[in-house]
Amino acid sequence: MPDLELTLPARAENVAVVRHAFGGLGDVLDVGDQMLADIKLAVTEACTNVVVHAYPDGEGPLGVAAIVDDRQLTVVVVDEGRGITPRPDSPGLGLGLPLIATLAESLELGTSAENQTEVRMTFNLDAAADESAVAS
Amino acid sequence: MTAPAVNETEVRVRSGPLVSAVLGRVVGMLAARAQCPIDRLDDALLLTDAVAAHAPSHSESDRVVVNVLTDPEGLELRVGALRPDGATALLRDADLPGVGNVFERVADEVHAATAPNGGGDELVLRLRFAG
Repeated sequence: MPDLELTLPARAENVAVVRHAFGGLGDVLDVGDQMLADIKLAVTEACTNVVVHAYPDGEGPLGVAAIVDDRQLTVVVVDEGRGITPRPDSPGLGLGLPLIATLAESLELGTSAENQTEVRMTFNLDAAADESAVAS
Repeated sequence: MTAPAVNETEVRVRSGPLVSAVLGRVVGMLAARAQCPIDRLDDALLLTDAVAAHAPSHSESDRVVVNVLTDPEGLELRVGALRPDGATALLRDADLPGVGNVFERVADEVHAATAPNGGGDELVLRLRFAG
């Protein structure tokens, strides 16, 4: 069961709400600044994709879940839109998913058991600390 | 500027330190987006602090569930998935000696309700933006 779940309308202003919630999560989990910035950026990108692409004919729900297990954070962003498909008329640059793939330890795109479009990403919360320890 | 639309968010958090950290931020952000005046924003955070402190003891599970509804007139918190009579118990827990009941002093409306679809007891707190 997720440690944190948010369900809200897929609107641009609500992306900031999600981002802010992850700030609170980062505080409690004592996540380093760099890692927290990476998590917030990746989650922001995934939520923005939902806002921009999922519901071309209106508005629908945006769901975000966070699961913490032994310093590994899994974030799942879901929507009930049309799925992740190529979009020639996309208003974006197409950099969102590659950016998430770069920031996260793993990235999976798929469909949930409830037939929702799902973006699942994982982060090692100690990764930045590990890297700086190796460098020093 | 156009009037902000109705916005409804469900927050479901594991009991513990996450409740206060996440709920305060989410409610603060939603209230600010709804053009909540600064003094009422402070009041909204007082309510979330009290909810975070006491709701875990009365929840049906180890999760605290809060529906946050904002509209141009105000903000509503529906603290849900409480045990039977949990709303009354949660309200009682917010009594502070010498101060009174935090929920009743700060919110404009306080009442217990039954959540739709058998979602258990819930405490409804409504804060109006205009004094």
